[in-house]
Amino acid sequence: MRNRVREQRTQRGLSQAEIAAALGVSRQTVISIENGRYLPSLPLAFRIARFFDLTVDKMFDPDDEETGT
Amino acid sequence: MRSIPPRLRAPAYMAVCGVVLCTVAVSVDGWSAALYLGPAVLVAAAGYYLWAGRDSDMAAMLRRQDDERQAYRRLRIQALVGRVMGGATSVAYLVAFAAKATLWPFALFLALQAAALLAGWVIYRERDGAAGNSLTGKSRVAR
Repeated sequence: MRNRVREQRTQRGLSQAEIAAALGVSRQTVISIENGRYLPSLPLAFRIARFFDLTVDKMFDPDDEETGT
Repeated sequence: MRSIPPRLRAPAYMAVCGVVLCTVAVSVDGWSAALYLGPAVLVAAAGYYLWAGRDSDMAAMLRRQDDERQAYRRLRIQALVGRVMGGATSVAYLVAFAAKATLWPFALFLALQAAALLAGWVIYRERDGAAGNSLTGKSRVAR
């Protein structure tokens, strides 16, 4: 599943540490999500989408089966 | 324990246990026991404290401040440890049985394993209306 976390983060000029602090997760988890190594839980996916003012389906693309947890 | 910072909890616990252990060792073996036990406890507690201060998954797990991914990883690690220990106990039971050695300690651990399985089944069953994270059960995960 591909996501747009890195794209949205860099567009806003934010660091991974800043996103991590805002979402209440570790920097390592943000890195894992950006690299597609970890699929966030539904509550975290909603927090990510809300943080970037997007919907979950805009943030995460289920059609791209590139990675898994 | 709530007033102690998370990073200090385990080292403080280790230090307290170490003092108790040293006291028992000194009372049984004399002061010579404290010469190696004391430094070992200090090094272990200090090492734990320093390791828990790092910016890593393991450090977050040690501090018990893990997020959902780290909690999931910790659970998988704990499951692996449990499986290995359960398997090792079964093998040890068979070896003890074949060697006609004392069986009850291994039987006790196997019974504990079965009891833990049943307890886990009951404690972590899905309940109607129960909220929380399926991986960790921690409310803070679903902030």
